[in-house]
Amino acid sequence: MRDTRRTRLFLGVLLLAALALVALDYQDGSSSVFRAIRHVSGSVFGGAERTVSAVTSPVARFFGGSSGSASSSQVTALQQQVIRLRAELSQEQLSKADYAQLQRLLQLAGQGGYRIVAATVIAIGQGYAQTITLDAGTDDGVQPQETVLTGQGLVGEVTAVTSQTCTVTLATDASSVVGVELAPSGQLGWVTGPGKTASGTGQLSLKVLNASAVLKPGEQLVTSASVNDRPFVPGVPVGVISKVQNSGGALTGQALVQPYVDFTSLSVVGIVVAPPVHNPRFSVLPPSPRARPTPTVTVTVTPGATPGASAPATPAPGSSGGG
Amino acid sequence: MRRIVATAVAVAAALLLQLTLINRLHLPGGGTPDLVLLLVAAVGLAGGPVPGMTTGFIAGLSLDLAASASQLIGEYALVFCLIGWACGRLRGTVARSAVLPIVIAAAAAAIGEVLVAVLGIALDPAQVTLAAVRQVLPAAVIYDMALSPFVLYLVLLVSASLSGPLAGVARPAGGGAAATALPGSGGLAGSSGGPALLGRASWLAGPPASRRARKQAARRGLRLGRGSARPGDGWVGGGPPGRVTPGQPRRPGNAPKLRPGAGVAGSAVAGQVRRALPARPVNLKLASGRRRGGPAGTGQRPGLPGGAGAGTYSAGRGLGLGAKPVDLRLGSSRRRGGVIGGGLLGAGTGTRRPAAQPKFRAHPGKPSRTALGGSAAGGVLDQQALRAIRRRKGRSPRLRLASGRRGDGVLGSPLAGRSLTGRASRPAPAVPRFRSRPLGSGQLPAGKHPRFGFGRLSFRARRRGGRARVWKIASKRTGGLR
Repeated sequence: MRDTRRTRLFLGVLLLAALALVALDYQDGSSSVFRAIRHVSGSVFGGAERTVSAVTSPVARFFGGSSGSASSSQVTALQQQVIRLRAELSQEQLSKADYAQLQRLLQLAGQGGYRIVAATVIAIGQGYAQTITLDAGTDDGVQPQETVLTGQGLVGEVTAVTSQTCTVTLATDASSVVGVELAPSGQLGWVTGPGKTASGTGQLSLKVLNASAVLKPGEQLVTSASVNDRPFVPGVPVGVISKVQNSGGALTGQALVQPYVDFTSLSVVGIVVAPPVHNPRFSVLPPSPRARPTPTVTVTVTPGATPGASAPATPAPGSSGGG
Repeated sequence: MRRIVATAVAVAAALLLQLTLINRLHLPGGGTPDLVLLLVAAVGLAGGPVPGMTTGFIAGLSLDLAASASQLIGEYALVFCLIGWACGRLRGTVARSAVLPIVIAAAAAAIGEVLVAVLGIALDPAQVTLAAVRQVLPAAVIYDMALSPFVLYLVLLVSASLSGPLAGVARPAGGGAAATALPGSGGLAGSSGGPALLGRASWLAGPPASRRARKQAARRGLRLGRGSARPGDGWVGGGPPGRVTPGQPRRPGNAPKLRPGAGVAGSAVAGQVRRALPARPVNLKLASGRRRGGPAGTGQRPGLPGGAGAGTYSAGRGLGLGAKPVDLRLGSSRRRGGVIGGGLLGAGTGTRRPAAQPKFRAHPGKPSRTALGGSAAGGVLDQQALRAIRRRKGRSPRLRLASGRRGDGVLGSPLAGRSLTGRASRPAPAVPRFRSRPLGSGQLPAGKHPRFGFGRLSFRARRRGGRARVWKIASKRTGGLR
């Protein structure tokens, strides 16, 4: 079947349009037009994905994939709680000195902590990119370049946001780079993702800046601090060194890192929403003292009773509220 | 319009299923099938180049945008557009073979996956690494190939049920018979064992899929009963009884059935045999495997008054509109061609234009070919024309005037009170016959001309030594009549 002239023309137009889109997006992916297009399409597809995901995630879970929003609300709530605790714990795990430093530097307060937005995975990215789509967007306060974590550890970084959804680039993506800190030694380095692998979850590769650092299997990695907590808040566990690759003459120490998070079964994740911009000073304030109620016990002594029996039950007023 | 809506719905469903379910599955090997790509390939094979590439572009762009920040906008659009177009170009294979489209769909999916990977490496090397491609691509291709026949079958099924008998979209016919389709007009899929549906376009569509389609076909087409069901019996020319020509009311009652033997055993005669039939029976053989085969009658433009009706398929354009005429084999093994039937020239409206006189035309430059017909009555041979043929030197087209052979059918359209102007005084006719008999030697080279034949050996039939029980109206190269 030969093409007619019209068919050929149409094909040419379509191909040119596709090439032009690729070229424009390649040249300037952050142009406002493309951002608007992505935003609108993300809203449209996100809504549909959210609906469909509720139906398909049990099926996916049945086939051994990750479970989505189908888990019961109690499980979801518990997972969210674990995530929140993990975020708080990651703060506590930092050394006291670092903590105080960071507190001053990043104007983070202990009491407020990170605000976590819990979100559900509604779609998985297509192609070789390792991305997921979550059901939280700018309406929930999510911004680009925010940390995503689960109860186990670091998941990735928010890279695109629409009003209802956001796209997260996983730490296993080949283009993802996470600054890390070795837990006991404090060595600084970074991990990059393996990209898509046959086994589904590959090992991250660690490079340490100090070439003379001694890396040992079993050492733990946490995220190091970034400016304004973007893209990664400090102290989130990333993984554990599984194999040290010492190549002679390399400028950096290298190792393979087994991530804590099982990237094949992500369902509920937390997005660390940065501290509110409108009142940053609130968080550096020390914990405000709380007024505590003072219990008052009134003892009435009846004249006919023995004084020895009632005396131990009469504490001095005000002495019990001291603690 | 329904096709566009159906395609859009299918693309959206495939997209969402892909992103929410399929990508979530962690299949061994790391890869996942690309449902959208398979859908685009199937739509191309079912619909042709333009629907294929349009669907591909839109589906690819949607995928680019839906999985936002995963890749550059337009990457998938580019690849899917090409795949849809290429599959659309190979659409003719759907008519030719049952297996070839599956192979093509699988190959298209594999090529699409490779193209996506190559484009990713070229445009976004940070995200798409060679190592990842090497690890994931084989599994993805294998999953695609495994899934492609099902997607293709579903798309063809939906496409056929949407279009009904008129649009001529092929779908696999049962019983191992290969699907047959003709782009644009309709498919001829007379299975030789069972009753064959003949008629306007349901000829080629095979047995109708749904009850609704069957009813529609019964209204539109003639039905060859069992009694006359010889392999290769057919109906040429004329309008189906259900067709209301302007100025003539539809005949009440059910659609006429073809009855065995309106006079002669094996004749395929629909409805009442009118008195005003041509004086001499015409024995027309529609041979197969010849280089100059052509269709009989017209049928491409249902809006044309008169004649453009039954069971036939479009030589009409070539004949009436002054384009290349299509040759029809008259007789066996003669290099004679002609078009029989027709009726493009304003018949049925009550007034005959003078131009509509049936005539034989000799083709300029090709004296051995003869064009026949163009008459209101659907290819009734004029006596003068016959004489003219006989007078002509060289071999004449074999229009046998013998009567009473089995398997002959009515040539032309005696139905529905078509007036055969100027022939009223002819003696009472014998039943004209139409024989379409599969002849041997299908191995003649296929030229550019369309072929009207029976019995191209499908590879499956070849193994058994039998013939594919599929009518072919197609040229070997193109698979369609263009």
